Amino acid sequence: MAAPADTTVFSDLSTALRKVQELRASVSRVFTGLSEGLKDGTLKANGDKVLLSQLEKNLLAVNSDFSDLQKIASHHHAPPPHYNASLIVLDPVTDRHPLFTQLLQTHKWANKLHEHAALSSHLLQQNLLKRSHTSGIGAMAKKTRRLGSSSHAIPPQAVDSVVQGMDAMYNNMSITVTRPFGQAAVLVVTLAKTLRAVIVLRGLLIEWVSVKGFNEDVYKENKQVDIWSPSKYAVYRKVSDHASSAMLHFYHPLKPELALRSFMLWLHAYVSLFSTPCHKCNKFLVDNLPPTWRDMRFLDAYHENCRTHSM
Amino acid sequence: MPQSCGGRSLNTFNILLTLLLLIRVLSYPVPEGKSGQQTVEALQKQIEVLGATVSSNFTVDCETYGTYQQTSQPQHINILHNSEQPATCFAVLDSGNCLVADLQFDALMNKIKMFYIQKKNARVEAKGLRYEYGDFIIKVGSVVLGQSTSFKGVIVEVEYMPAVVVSECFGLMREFMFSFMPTSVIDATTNHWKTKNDAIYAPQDTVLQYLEHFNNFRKSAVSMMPPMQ
Amino acid sequence: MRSNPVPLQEYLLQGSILEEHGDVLLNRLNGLCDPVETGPEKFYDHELVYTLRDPVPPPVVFRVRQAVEHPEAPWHLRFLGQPDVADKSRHTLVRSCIDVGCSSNVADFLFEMGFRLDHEYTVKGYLFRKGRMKVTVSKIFRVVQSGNPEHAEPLTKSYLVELSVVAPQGQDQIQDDMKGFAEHLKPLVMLEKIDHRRLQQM
Repeated sequence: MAAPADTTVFSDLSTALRKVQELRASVSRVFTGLSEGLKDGTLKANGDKVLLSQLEKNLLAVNSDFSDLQKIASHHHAPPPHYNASLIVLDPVTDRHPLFTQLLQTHKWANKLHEHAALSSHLLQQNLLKRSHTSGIGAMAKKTRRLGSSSHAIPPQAVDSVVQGMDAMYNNMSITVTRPFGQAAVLVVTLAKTLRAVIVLRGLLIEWVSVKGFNEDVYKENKQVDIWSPSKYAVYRKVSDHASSAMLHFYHPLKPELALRSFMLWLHAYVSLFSTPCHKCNKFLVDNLPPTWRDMRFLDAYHENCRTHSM
Repeated sequence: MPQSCGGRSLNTFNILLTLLLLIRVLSYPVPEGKSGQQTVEALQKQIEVLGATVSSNFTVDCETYGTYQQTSQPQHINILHNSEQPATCFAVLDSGNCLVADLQFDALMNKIKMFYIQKKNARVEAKGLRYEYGDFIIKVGSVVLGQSTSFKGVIVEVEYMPAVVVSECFGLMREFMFSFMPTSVIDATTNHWKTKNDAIYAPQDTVLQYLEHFNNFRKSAVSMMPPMQ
Repeated sequence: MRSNPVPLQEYLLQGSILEEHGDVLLNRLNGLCDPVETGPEKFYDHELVYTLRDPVPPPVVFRVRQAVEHPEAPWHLRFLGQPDVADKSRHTLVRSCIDVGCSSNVADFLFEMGFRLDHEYTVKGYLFRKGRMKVTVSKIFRVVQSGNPEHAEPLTKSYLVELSVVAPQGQDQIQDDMKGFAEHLKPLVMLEKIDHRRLQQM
């Protein structure tokens, strides 16, 4: 039933298309006629007239073509709405592509890029005039590199094996190694159920020590070792201070492994932090703190104020 | 080991020394002619002399639920709250099995009231002051039983926060307690630590010890009943 | 110190979608729900259902849930009340709900209290959030060997889709939000108020 109607529609459409072509041809003829002017310049006197009549003829052709096209278009209406077509919107194909996540990712990256670019341009602007200084620092760095010892330039494998050796040496002290900052190793030492210490190494030299309680978290939320935050307990803050001084006491740039081993031996003495009374006053508590100092040589327990007499 | 101090006169109170980490319970005879409130105040004064500062109040309370009598296996559930863990509820069974749960657990008990019914006059509450002194937390409070608001005893809790194993800081805690309670005998441990001396401390350890003391208070309260009637 | 927590209610709509169309739904939810940088949140829970029957007939049902892949996370104890389905004016299923986080000894504890294991299953799926609303697209597995959640077989070839909100009593306007959201998921999933008691009779 729909077939004959369809064929008339199609023939109408094709004649309309043909008319459009004709219209375009006649229009272009108008313009070419105008641009070329007269072909042979002989009849100059009548030239204007000839040109005008030619233009008129061409315009009439355009007009008739246009009205023909209009006539065809007038009895051809827009096609009736196709109901199924509106369902194209619900086409699940678009849903099937993870467009959203990709878009989100792109936005995030664009934002990051923008932020970083802004920051770096800010920094670059600030340092624009200091270019000569940076080269100065570079020269100094070269100098120090030449002068400094090589004890920090130990390959990570060597550090690992030293640490493993120490880990095996004590059965109630475990040491784990992470390298969050590239070459430098960060040791997390868990001493029995008494304390946890974070030690930052450069090569085998100790750079930083911080001591916390066994029940305190040495890892941050992003699983990185928390190097900076102090313990919430006074006793461990005190032990941290003492550990820093011990680190300096044992410092030996030429024999870094020996220094590290001595430091670990000293740290291991804290296993009895709460259970050993002071070697001098024989009490547990002075100023509300247990004996937080360990003698460097004999590893005896002392209160901070009792130790001066022992040395 | 808590012992009721006779129960002959109401002027005698139990003083329970609860040490977190090194937790032990002591009986401590109050000097003749002193009231419980006076004992608490004297203790508090001594702690303040040490240099400790009051940080807040504390409460530990306990409700008991039991099965109906017709059931074959009688079972009790003790529901405890500790102000140190304000969003937590501790449920302890007869076996000592302790469930640590959100405060919402109270509402669950309501849903099983067909099976477990709240015991009347079994509520025990410890209330008092919480002191901080360096790494120590000291709590001194009085214990109240059931509907009566009368004084049933004194409870002292000492917590040394940095340590996690009881056996390690035994001597240290003992020395510390001696500094403000020189007259008390500090050599008995609660049953709780007898088996868990080397375990890592958890909040339920505190609560289980409170329950142990509370049960002793209840027993001594019952034993005090006959002479009063 | 003792506070009486406000009673909470769960508003729930349920539906299902065939496995092969799951991705389409997930992508749509990704777009509709609150953005999560790492894509939809996955979950894998082991759920144990305990009942207390003795001695009175109406049993009390407690559900214990544990994240299989996060054994260190607290266990979850849940009580669900009987839904009020008679009220036709409500767009969603409404039932009282008590959620309690608890320690890992909860199974032993319930057993000692007199509860007995009724059935157990595992749920694997994805979680989305949209404001207060929670959408889960999950698959239920029957645990073949009791106590071993790894040993499980799928029940059906479809995903269970649930849209739920837990809110204090009386916040019925949330149902309109839920209805609006469910409308966005049509025609992929028809989220409806399902009367479980009628299902049991079938």
